[in-house]
Amino acid sequence: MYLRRHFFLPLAMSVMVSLISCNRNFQFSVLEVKPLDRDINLKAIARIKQLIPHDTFSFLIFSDTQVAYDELESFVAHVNSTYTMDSIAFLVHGGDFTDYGANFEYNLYYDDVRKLKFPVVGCIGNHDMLSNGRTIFKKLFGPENFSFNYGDYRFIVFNSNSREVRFDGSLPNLSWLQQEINSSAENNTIYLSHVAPMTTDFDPALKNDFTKILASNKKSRLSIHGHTHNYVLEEPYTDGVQYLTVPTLQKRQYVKVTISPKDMQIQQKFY
Amino acid sequence: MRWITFFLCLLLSFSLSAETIDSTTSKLYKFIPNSTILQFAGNIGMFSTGVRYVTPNKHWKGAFLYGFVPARYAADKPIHSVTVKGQYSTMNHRYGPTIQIEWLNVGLWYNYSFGRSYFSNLPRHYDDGYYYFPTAINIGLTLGSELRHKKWGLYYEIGTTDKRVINFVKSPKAVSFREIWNIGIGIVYHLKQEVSL
Repeated sequence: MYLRRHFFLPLAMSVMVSLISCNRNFQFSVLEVKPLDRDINLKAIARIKQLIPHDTFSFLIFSDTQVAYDELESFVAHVNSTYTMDSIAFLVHGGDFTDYGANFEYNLYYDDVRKLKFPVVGCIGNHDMLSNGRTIFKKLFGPENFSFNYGDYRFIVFNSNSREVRFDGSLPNLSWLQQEINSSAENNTIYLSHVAPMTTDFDPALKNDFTKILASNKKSRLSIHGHTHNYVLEEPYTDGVQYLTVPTLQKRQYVKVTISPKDMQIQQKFY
Repeated sequence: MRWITFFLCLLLSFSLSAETIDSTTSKLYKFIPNSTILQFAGNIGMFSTGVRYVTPNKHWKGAFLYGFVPARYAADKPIHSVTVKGQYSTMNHRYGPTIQIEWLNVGLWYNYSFGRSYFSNLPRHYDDGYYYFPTAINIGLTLGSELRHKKWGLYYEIGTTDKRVINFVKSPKAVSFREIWNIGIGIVYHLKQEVSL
């Protein structure tokens, strides 16, 4: 009788202790904003700045990992074991880390990707903007629109998820994009954004202006996207600008880009 | 926070009126809830508060709660939500004249969050089936236990949500079974005299 009466509290305590080992187990809402880190894009860019740029360099692109945490884990292991610090400089993510823009999904992505020995820079996807996802992205990753350089290459990364703002003209931010291009000191430009202008989720009212901005910039080399889940490399507007769509990691595919003074090689990779 | 205060005052008035109403004399007695609740966490709010009704046989419970997540843990404005929770209570035992423990409460809750940032029906600017889920609605499953001593009670709940379960099913290796569970704890103030089991 004594044992039974005092059984409840120790039982409850031990259950709670085993679950509260990290305070992640007290969750206030599926919509809560509690990312595990801050400014991981900015931290990655700081690491990239520390690298000694080579004339010939490579980077990897992976994308749309939102339902592919298993594949993400094996991708991280694959990259860490296959590539040395000399063979690739960094990775970029084409967007859609989450399905619901939920805090727990962002944190699951972070848990996996922090194990990569290379810096990773990511752009925001359409799913990532759902619920409070846009706020979580800004806290966890940093600004939505930003750029960084490696050697003589400027990477301009921005939010192109027009449908999520009901095509109100704010995404992509074309005036910001033009400013970024104008202030770029490097001789080569690569763009990264989730939604490509070839899709119906890109604001139709902004499409022509956007493609013109890219085409009229003589330094444009490549525009990288995710979203449609298939590997496509094309020049859809016959204006000299190549558009690369990166497949979803769920297909166990990614892309390797190798840049040398002579050319740019783009390879679809499987693992 | 003033919403929480308002609801707590409302519940306090419930409890005061319960003191003066007798089960034998008032038709209103049936409508007064069996208890008022204050819960911490559990995915229905940082704090949530509400009322709970229990069937005469003490096995079925229904609770209606208002939950609040302050702006600090949300996107610059608080998250207000309401939850309807149903529970089946079993393995109930009495220990002495005043202590009762319900060892197993299995619950299901439906939570709706207010605000234009979230949707229940897919907004018109999306094609049909663009997103297969609502962001304003979450459903949860809970398992817990509850203790009662005279007019007070204490409970814990280990729970999961629909989105977590789907996430786990899609990536079972990376998302471990342990990962999908969370914990909520609550205190209960019983408004009605206990009926003997």
